[in-house]
Amino acid sequence: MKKIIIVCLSSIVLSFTVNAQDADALVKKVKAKLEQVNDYVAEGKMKTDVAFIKAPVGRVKVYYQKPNKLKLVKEKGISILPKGGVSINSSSVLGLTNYTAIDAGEQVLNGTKVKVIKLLPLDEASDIVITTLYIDEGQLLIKKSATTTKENGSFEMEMYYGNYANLGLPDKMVFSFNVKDYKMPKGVTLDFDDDMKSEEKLKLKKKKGRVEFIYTNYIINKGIDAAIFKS
Amino acid sequence: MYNLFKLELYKIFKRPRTYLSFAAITALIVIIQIGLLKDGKEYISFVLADLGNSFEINGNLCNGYFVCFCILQLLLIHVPLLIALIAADMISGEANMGTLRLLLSKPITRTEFVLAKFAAASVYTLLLLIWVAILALFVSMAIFGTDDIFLVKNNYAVQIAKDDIFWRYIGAFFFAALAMLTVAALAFFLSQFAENSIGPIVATMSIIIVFTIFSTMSIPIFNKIKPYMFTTHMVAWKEFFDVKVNADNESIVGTIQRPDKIINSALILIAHIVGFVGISVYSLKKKDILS
Amino acid sequence: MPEIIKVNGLCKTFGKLQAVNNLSFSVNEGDVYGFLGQNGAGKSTTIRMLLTLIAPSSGTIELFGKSLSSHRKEILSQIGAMIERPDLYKYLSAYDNLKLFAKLSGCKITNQLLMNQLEMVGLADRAKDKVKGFSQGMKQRLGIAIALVHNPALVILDEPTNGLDPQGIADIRNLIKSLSTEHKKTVVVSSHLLNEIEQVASRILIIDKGRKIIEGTTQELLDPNQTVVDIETNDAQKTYTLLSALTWKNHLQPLINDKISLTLHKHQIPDLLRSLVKMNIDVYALQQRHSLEDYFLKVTSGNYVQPV
Repeated sequence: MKKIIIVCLSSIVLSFTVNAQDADALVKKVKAKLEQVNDYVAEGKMKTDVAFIKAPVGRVKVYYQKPNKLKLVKEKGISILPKGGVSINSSSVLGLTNYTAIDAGEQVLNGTKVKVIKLLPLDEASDIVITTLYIDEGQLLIKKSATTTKENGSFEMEMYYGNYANLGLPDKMVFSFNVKDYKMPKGVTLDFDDDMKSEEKLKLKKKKGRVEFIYTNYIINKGIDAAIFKS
Repeated sequence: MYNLFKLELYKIFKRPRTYLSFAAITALIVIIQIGLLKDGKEYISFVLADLGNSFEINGNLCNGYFVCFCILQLLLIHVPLLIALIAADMISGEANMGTLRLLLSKPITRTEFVLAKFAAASVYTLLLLIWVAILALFVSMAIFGTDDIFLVKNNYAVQIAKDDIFWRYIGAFFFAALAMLTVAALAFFLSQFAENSIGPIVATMSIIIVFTIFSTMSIPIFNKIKPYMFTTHMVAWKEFFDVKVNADNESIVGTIQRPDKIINSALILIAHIVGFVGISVYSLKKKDILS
Repeated sequence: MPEIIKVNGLCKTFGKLQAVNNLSFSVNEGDVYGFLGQNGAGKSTTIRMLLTLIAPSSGTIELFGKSLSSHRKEILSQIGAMIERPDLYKYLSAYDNLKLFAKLSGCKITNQLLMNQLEMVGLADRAKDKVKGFSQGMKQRLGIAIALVHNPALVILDEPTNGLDPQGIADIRNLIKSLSTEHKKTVVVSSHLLNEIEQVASRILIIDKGRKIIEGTTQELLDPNQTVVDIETNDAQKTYTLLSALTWKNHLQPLINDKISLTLHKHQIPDLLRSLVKMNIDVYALQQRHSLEDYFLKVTSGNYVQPV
C-alpha cells in the first residue's frame, strides 16, 4: 500500500522568546517522553466517518520508527483518508524542530485541565501555518492538536489514552478535517434514479469528516523491518 | 407441455443466431476487461473524479468486483437487444417459416404453446445472464483479484467490504434475471403480432430506448411517469450495492440501504412479465392463424 | 361409410369480408376429397378452420363424429396436415425436422420410422442435409412426410402441388393415390390445379366466394355430355360453315380466332370425325377437352345454373 501518511512538518529553525520558554520546555518534556519509543507496531480498527462516504470499519496496522517513519497498512480492503496528511501519531505533531512555541493559557478539555500551546513554524515554505497543542501537563500527554495548513485545510486530532499512556501512545485517536461538498455527475455514476429526499441530502452536507483509529495492541521497541516503509 | 418445452429449447440451441448472442457478450466483456486491465487506473480516477482530489483512496480499487459492476452497468443496457433477438423471434419466426400453422395444428393447446415457448425463451435469457456472470464476475475475479468495492453514487460514495459483496452479486444477478425476463416477455408479446422477427426486435428496442430516455432524463414532467415505466425498475439491481449505516456512519455488514425499493421494483417487473405473457396467451388463443 | 368430416353452416368473416359463407359438406371415410376453388375462394380458410387455426364465426365442425371445439386435442392427433408451402426449420436437417414434428404429434418415434417416411417422399438420401439447401419441391415433400409421420387417419393437404415441377406434381399425385388405395386413409386435398384433382379425387367440392357451388362424385361432375372437342383444319371458316349446315349446329360454339369447338357427348366424337372426312376437310388435330377444368371455370364464372 502506498504510504498514506504525509508528515507535513518540515525542518524549522528553533527560535525562542522569553514568553515561550515555559511552553517550549513543556513541549520538550512531552517529546522526551515520546522518545522512549523507538518503534512500534499498533494494531487496531480504522473507521472513516465522512457524511457522504459509507465505509465499513477496517482493521489496520500502523508501523512507526523513530524519528518520522510511519506507515499505515490496512489488513484488507480499501482505505479512504483525506488527502494532504493524516498524522496518526503524536510524534508527528512534534516532529517539528524549527518552531516558536507560545503559551496560550489553559483550558478544560473533556474534564481535564490542559495547557494550550501554539507552535508556529519558522520556515516560510512549511505547509503548516499553525499547530495548537492541548497538553495534559501532569501526565505529559497531548490530548488534542489542531493544525491549519496552507494547502490542505485544517484538521484536528484528539487522543485518548489508556494502557500505553506512560509511553504517550493513545488507545484511540480521532482525526477530524473539513470536507468539500460531494458532487458527482450522473454521466459518471450512471445512476439516473435519484429519489433521495432533500433532508437526506442535507444530512450528507455535514462539513466535518473524521477518521477514527482504535488501537487494541501495541508491540513496542521490538524492531521493524525497514522494508515495510519502502513498499 | 414439458415435451414442447424441450423441443423449443432444442430449436433455440440449434440455431446459429443463439450463439451469436453469446459471442457478442463474450466480445463485449473481454473488450471491457482488456480496457480496464490496461487503463484501469485512469478509468478509476475518472470515476472518482472530484472525490479523488480530496481523498486518498488506496487499495485494489480496480478489482474483479468493481470490474463486474462496471460491466453490468454498461451491459445490462445492451443485453436486451440480444434477448430481443431470440424472444422477439419466438412466434414471428415460426410465422415467417410457415411452421406456426404446422405447430398449432398439432395436438397441443395454444396456452401450452405460449407457455412452453416463453419458458424456453426464459431459459435462453437466464443462460445468457449466467454466461455474463461467469465472464463478468468470475473471470474478472480471477483476472483482477478481489477487494472491497468502492462505488460512487449521485449523492454519496459507498465502500463495501470484500466479504460482504459476493452475496450481493447473487442478488443482483437474480434481479437482473427478472429485468431481462421482462424484456424477453415484452419481445415475446410483440412477437405474435408480426410475421417476421425484425419488426418485434426493432419495436422492443425502440420501447426500451424511449423508456430509458424517459427514465434517465431528470426533467420534472418525465419524473411523474418514471415510476410507471419498467425501465426505471430494471436498474434496481444496483440497490444491492448500497449499505445501511449506523449512528456512527459505519456501514453495517449484510445490509441493503433500500430493500423496499428492490422488492417494489421486483414486484413491478414480475407484474410486467405476468402481464405480457398473460396477454400473449389470451391474444394468441383468440388469434386466427393466417400466416 | 362413416363420415370423417361433417361441416354444417360454416361461416367466417374477416372484418367486412365474408371468406366462408354458410358452407356445409361431408367427407366419408376412404374418400379422396378434392376441394376446388379459385384463389381467394375460401379453401384455405375452410381447411384452417378444420385444423383449429381459424375460429369459425358460426357453424359447426365435426371430425371423427366428435365436435372439433370440444375434442380438439383428440381429433388433431388423428390428423396430418400440410398447409400451403411450408419453409420448415431451415437450420435443421430433414431428419431433425421430421423428428421434431413427430414428437409433437405424440407418436412413438424410431429411426426406422423416420427413415421410412423420408424414403416414401424420396428424401432418404438427403436426410442429414439442412433444409435451407432444399428446393421448394423437396420442402413440399418433407412437409408431406411430416403430415404422415404419425400415421394419421385423415390427411389434409392444402395446395400440395404448389411450386412443384411436373415430375413433382406427378409424384404427389401418385402419393395421394397410394394413401387412399394402399394405406386406406381419408384425404382432403385442395388445389387450383384442377386437372390434378380430377385425377385423384373420388369426391369434389367446388367453392367460390366462400360459398358451396357444387359437391359430388367426380363421375357425377364429369358429365360425358359436356365433352368439348377442339378441331384444327386446313380451313376453319369453311369447316364452321359446313358443320353449321348439319346437325352439329347445336353443338358448335361460336368461332373465335379460327378455333372450332364443339360441346357434345363423348360417344358422338367418331360421328363428328366421319362427317369431317365426308366433307373432304383436312383435319390436322382433334382434341378432346372434357375435363373438370372446363367445368370448374364454368361453375365459378358466376352465372352457372346447375343442370337438373
